Amino acid sequence: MSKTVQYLSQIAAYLQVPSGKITFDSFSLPVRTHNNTSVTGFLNIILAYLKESKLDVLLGKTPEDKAEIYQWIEYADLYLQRPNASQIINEHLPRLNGVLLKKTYLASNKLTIADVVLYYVLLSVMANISHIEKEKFVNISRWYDNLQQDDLLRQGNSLINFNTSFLCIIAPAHH
Amino acid sequence: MTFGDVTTEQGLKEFNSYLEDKSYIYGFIPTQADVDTFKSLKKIPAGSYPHALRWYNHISSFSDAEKKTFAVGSCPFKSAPATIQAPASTKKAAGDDDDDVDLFASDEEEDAEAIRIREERLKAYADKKSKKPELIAKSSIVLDVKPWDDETDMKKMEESVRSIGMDGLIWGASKLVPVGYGINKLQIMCVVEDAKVSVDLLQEEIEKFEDFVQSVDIAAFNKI
Amino acid sequence: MLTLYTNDTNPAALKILIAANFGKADVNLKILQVNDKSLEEPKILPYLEITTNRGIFIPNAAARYLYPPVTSEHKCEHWIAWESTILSPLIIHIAGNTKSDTIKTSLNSCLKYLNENVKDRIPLVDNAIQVCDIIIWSTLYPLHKDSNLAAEYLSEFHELNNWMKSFGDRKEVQNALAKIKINAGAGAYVALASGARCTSNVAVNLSASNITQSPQHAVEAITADEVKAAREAWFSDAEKLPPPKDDIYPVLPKPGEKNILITSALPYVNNVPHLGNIIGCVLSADVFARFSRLCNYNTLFICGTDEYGTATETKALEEGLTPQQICDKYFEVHNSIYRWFNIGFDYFGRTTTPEQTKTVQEMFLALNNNGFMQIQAIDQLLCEHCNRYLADRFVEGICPHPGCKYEDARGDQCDGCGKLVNAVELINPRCKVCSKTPVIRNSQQYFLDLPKLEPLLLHWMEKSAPGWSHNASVIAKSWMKEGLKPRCITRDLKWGIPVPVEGFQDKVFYVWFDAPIGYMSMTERYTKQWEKWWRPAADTKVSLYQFMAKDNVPFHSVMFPAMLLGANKNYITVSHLMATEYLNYEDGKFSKSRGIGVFGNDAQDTGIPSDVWRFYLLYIRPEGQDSSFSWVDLATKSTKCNSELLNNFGNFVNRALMFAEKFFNSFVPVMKLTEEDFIFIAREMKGYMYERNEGIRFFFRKS
Repeated sequence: MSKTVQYLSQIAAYLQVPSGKITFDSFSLPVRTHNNTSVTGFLNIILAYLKESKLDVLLGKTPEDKAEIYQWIEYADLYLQRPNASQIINEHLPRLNGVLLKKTYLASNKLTIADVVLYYVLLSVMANISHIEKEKFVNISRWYDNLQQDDLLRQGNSLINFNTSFLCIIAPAHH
Repeated sequence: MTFGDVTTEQGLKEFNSYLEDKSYIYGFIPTQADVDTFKSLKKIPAGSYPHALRWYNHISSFSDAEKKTFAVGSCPFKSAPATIQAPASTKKAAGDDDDDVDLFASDEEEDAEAIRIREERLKAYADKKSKKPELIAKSSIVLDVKPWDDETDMKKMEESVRSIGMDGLIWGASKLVPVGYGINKLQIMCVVEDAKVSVDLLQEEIEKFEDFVQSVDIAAFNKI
Repeated sequence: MLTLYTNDTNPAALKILIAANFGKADVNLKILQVNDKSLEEPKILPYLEITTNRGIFIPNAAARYLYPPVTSEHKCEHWIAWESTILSPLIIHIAGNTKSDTIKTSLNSCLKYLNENVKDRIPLVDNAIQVCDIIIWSTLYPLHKDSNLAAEYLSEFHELNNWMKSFGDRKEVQNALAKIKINAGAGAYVALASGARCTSNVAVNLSASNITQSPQHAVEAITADEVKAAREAWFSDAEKLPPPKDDIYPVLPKPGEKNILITSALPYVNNVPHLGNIIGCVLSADVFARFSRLCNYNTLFICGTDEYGTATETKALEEGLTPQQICDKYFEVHNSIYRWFNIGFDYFGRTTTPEQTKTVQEMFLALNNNGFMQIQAIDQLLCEHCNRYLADRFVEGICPHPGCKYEDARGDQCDGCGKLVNAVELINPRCKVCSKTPVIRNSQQYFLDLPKLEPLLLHWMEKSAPGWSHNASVIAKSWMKEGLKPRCITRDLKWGIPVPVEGFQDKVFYVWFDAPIGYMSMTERYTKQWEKWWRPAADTKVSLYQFMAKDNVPFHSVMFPAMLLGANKNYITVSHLMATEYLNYEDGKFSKSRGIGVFGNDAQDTGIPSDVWRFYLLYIRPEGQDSSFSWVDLATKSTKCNSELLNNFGNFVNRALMFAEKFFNSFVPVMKLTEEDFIFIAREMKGYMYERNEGIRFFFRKS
């Protein structure tokens, strides 16, 4: 549950809007309160942030774009927030890797809020998978590496190394 | 890794491998290198080259107007001249005397110098890729730029700071953070290549804008 | 033309078809098996294909696309979120496990909630049917259709029943039901689950309210309460604060208070310390220890020299002394260097003590009794020319790990690839002393059964690792991933702690077994009540912070904890493992033999005060990646030391004093603080407290 708060704060920080006060209702749905209005639901809150940030370019242009974006955010909300890392690595990363074989970004052809959301939700997983796994999920690595070059998105987290052309995993740093 | 003429099967194969871990040919945003290569492809890459196909679909989603705005990027072609000249001539033929920056203009005087430079860049790129991996040491820095008082024009200050350009310096996001008494400090991020940019020098450059800047501090410094 | 691919009897497909009817879209239906080979990632069903390259695989997103919310979008989204994260996962479980009472009660709460909401309002939002109605209705449809389930769950919810019926009578719904038949009850939900392929965690215990707060966003205004708190804190007497603790001996942990036990990796006595060793281990630990004492925590900082092993033995032969004399001599070197650097150990000890021998032997016997030791005959390298069994660090050869081929791999670890090596595995081994090829002799040795300890270790690591520095947890994780093998802990050597077993008395314990136990025996030398720290009572919480350079991480994250856990005597284990990267010397490595670097007394000999050295080393502490010592950096004008100490701190102090002298006659006047001042204080304190709570990692970044 606390991860939800973290993801929403990061997304709000990226969009440069106040994250507001985030609490959870009796169904454990996240509720964001700001300026005396509340919205409930992960996707709902993100939409509210987008509206305030006026960065609706991140919502894509066409209804198809929007639908794809909603789909990814709901996917992240449903399946990527609570399970543990190994479930993500075994079930979801292969799926994501397959999708990204054909696509440069998750929804439409530009960076959208879907990529942003998944960047944050997957950050701790991506930072900790082994190099072999990064090589295996080559499309995710490409997509993620591209995303993390944007400083605004990365928010000071260190760059994850996707360079898999050296042999050992436990190597001390190169001298 | 470089790739050869993408109109050949072998070149296309290399191109596909090249794009396995890259979204774009050069760097992380679309550049003219992508446009050039795109134009030189005679047909859509087959499904057996999924990365090339992905890239192709992606680049084709940009309109021509958008493509014009891409920055110049170095294109690690092996055989560059033949493919780059063609677009230049079609452009001229279309009678475009528009005010867009004609990025292909230099190709008109395609001469030994340009070829030499390109070959050099190519070699440097190939060398870089073939050696044992050396990441360019970069650092992400957050600077706190403090004004004299609450009357300082923060917008002008930000413009001045961003106007500082150095090789290996990229400015990032910024925001105003209140310090107290109505004074705001400008917190601005940048990414620098350690080998090229001296942080002290950068600080001095910023402090040169004495009208706006009282002092500059490093709020955060992370190696990346 | 849109095409909907789905598996049979899937209510999610029904949802989409109904939405299509309301949105007046034409949708082609194709039924497939879940395992159909033509499916491409993401392979989730139902899948709404928009074009050959584009489609939607999350049913709610597809429904929304076909029939977007007309009004009050956020209310619709709220319902949709409720359906997808709460209702749907619960209902799917009904299909599988109807025996769980918690799930039943939770579903009941959901239906009750829904019932309340459809009471006066049909539909759910703004009196017009929207996609949220469709979504929820479709999910409930199989439940409603099944007479048993309906009786069990819906019997008391009359409004809900009515709503289900009346909505179901609509022509859009009837039309969709004609296209796809949905079975009643579990059958439909099984189809739903298998099409979705993923399981979402169910939210149970919905009656309990776990309200969590988010951190205030940094740019939100300071509240009036915070300003008030700042004002009160400012004016409250210093007397109200707890007094600083007196320097007492011995420092012992107390129940109810914060107790911090700090160790830094034991330097090998024979090696003259250089700057890298100092910042990696003792200096970092010292700074933290001082901070900890300032915070009034019960703090104990232990370190010492690691003295057993062949290196000392060999050095003794060279210098014509006994090993003990060598250790005595070099111990003084270490001691004086650290003293000059002002390292505030509570005790700086040695491993050549009777306490160490006793504790190591006890630990071994405990592990043996608990079944974590094995005996195996192994090959050891004997240099016939030198007439000694070669310790690992006295053999060099080509690294045996595939792909490495580093020529100067040592007998214990390869510097090229960093992996552990067994000396007998080296290709073309040579004796480091005489360069002759050693022969292999077979000898019985004790092995620590790490594989047997692996589950215990994993379980422990999961809980402890979040407190470690990032590089440490990465290293530890990769070790665990590789799988643990039994580790040989005895050797046929002379200078060491003898193995207390019949037939093994002329063997000694391998240095990595006895060294970490040194922390414990040195604490014992400090105070007879050492077990209060190392085997704390149930009501006394002690945190162990261990500082080291990253090449020591495997031993402190795997070997030593395995020993402590396996001994089963309630020994304390590390909660914060702080590892540094390497400090380079002007971009190269420190090398005593080649005279490259700053060693031993060199720092002192420069005449630069130790505080400046401390400051500089801490400034360049290699945290996320290697850093480099540079004379230019240390000394000259434009760089860190001068600019930080002189221009910033020094200047600040100077200006403040001059200001006081000029305008206030050298007195600090009584302050009258304004509202603005308190807001400023409150803001700074908030930032500081937030950062402090981030923990020790942030602490080091700040320093």
